[in-house]
Amino acid sequence: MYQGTEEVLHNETLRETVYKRTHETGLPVYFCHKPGFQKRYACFATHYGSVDTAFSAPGLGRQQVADGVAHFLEHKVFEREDGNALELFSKRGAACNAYTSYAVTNYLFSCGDGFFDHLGALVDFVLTPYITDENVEKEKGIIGQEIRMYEDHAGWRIFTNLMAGLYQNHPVRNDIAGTVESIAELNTESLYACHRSFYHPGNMIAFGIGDEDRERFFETMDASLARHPEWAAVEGVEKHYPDEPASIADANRVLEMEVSMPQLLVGIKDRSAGKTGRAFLKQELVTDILLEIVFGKASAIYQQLYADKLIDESFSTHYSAYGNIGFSVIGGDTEDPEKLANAVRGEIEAARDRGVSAEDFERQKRASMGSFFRMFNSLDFTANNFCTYRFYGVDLFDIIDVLHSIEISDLTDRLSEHFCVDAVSTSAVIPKGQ
Amino acid sequence: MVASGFSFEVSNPAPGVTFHINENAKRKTNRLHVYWIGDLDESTVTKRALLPTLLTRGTRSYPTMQSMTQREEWLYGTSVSTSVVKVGERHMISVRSEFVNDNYLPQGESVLTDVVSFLRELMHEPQLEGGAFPTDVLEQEKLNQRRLIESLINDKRSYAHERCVQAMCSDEACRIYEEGRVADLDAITSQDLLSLLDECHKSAPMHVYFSGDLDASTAAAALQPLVGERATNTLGLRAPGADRTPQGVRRVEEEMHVQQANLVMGFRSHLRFADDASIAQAVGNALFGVFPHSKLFVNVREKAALCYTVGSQLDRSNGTLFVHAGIDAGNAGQAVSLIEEQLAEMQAGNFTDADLDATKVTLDNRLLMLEDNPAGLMGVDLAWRLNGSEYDHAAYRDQIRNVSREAVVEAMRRVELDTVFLLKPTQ
Repeated sequence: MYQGTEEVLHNETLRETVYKRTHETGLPVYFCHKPGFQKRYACFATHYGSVDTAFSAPGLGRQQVADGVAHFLEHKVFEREDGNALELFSKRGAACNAYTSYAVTNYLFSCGDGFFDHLGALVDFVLTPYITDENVEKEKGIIGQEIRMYEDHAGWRIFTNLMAGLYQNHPVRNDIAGTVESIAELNTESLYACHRSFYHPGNMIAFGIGDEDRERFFETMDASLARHPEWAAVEGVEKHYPDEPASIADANRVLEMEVSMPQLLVGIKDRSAGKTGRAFLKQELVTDILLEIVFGKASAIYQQLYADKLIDESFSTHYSAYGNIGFSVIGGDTEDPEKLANAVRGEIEAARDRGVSAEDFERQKRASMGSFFRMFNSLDFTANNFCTYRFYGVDLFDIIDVLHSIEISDLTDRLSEHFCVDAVSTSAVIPKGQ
Repeated sequence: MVASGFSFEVSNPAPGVTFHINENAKRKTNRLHVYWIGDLDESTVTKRALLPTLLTRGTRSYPTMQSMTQREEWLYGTSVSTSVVKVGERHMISVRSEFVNDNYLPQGESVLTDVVSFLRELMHEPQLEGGAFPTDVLEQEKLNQRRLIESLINDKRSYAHERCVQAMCSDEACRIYEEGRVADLDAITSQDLLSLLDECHKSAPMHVYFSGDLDASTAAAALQPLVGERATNTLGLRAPGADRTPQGVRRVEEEMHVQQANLVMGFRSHLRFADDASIAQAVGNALFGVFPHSKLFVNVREKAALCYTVGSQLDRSNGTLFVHAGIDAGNAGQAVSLIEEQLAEMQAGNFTDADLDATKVTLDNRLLMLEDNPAGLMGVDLAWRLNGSEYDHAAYRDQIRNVSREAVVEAMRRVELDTVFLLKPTQ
């Protein structure tokens, strides 16, 4: 059963509509109809990620769990006595998957037909993890290889090293999967404790998308949830994060790896993160547009650095925010990380003095608009991002209106707020033995 | 079963030029891919790889990378990229673009004509100085290409795959790395590249794929400027190399400063697109190592917990099959035997009918979902064509459904181990 009436969220520019109902358990359930599409997709997400290692929950008191527990739990949720979810979905013609970010764990599947059967199976898996001493030990072997794979991935290592340079205490400085050593501590008890505390209706969202019947979608979700009568909101779960100073941890971090040429990332720690609702979305869009204007391919500095052979096409920028954490990242492959770092720092200062031209601003707004049309072609993008943004109180379809509401003064304000060299940390990877 | 619905309408607007147009109102953006086809050959691979990088450095009206980028941004963030692609023994220069469907733009606005005109200049009228690519631009793109070729080692899995192919197919064209060779770069002149571009314009087989909300004849008329002036004769392509039989199993090891070992096992599958039995082999391979219910995933990852990634991929252009696993170097021997055992199980018919049916259903679902992905279908359609076959999406789905157990076993029995390559941590 659902509470209250259905809400309809519509955006005329994107020509997309999402229907929301609140399940009696409190779980928000969303459906987006995509006429003519053959693919169907659904996801079931929890606002629980790798940074949520310290928390209090009723009956458990204050907990401090090992790094990597959210990701480890993701693997175990997709397991059952009679097999692994990946295998079981695959046997029925569908493909399921899951991922863990700093802030969210998301379970998903895509299929051509059989959508409603798979939807029920997804709910069952997520709500009934199968965790035994034996399968926890086995998983340590598999995840150990996953961690080793990432350890050889320069693009990932340089990013996690940047996080450790930007943040002094916040767990965002630790790798999402933890380490081979940290996951060695994990046991069934800690995994179940995390599941009970974070996989409850007050902390989750379900989203379905495709050319299917809306009523049947909501009925199937209801019937699937009814198979788990004990599943109810848990009141009083609190996440704890350490105090994070405004200053960075390290100005420069360098790692030697087996790579063909050095790489550099410059990070700017956002001291104004932690907004919610439209303000969160606006801050993200404004920062992305600003980064594109200052460092994008059409900028003067990009052309200069490219001509000086300090950067190539891999040079790019992005801004990310996870709750009270936010950061800008600028960089790519380079022959000379130190020279590039100095040039980027210099440009951060220069941009503050220069401000933003109306022409650049208009052009970037048009480019952003086009990129949204591209992104909303994707069912996966729509579903995953709708859920993630909901956790920050944002309706993803507001993205167009928010973009239109941005004025040049928002950009100049953000320049002086965020483009601060004392909030900058750099991370480099250099070839071994150089 | 859901009705299938995807096709390209094919037309020939000029000698050697084929348009493939998919009328598609589902998406908010249009897709356009252009391919100039050539042979994969050591003597031309590097200049073919270098040419597309120069096309993005300036055109007649937008003479700098900066002005080109600004133009793309102004056209509602139209994406434009150029690259080389390798399929079997063919080497394609490609130009790809995605841009907003005019129906979604603010009233009265349109980008279609502007995008086509921009791409026409990019393909046909690069920025030249005194009839040549500017020296500094050419030198810089040579440097970037060198870095790109050298960067293969940054992705350990791709590197291990490439090294296995080189060891296994040491005298076959398919071994050639599509981004070229560092040693060739110095000698390439602007004239070499302009001659190559002229050959593309006039006589290389050219395929133009479009998917968007336009009927086929309107789209064909809109795309016509991309064709340029064609010669009456189109360049012929080399016949594909002969099938090889392994002479025992070759074992190659290489050390690197890595945490994880990458194992690649190269097999000869002996069947190519033109062989009907290759469809049964595609089904067999999917059950062997593509899906999470496959023999490799279930036994090597889930039961033995030897790895996080394991999988097999069939190359129907070359008649080869590769298995990849990221493992602990100490387990390499065990992993190789376990993978060989799983293949032997397939060849002995030791799989259930339920597993075979599941594989066919999963493949069918994948094909069904591919209908939402025009760019993916462009790649599939082209790969079939380059191998002398025509891709009929609906018919292919039927063929997959009708593959018998006997045909799968028979096709998998053709698979023979050729080379075992191990990239392992330095001792």
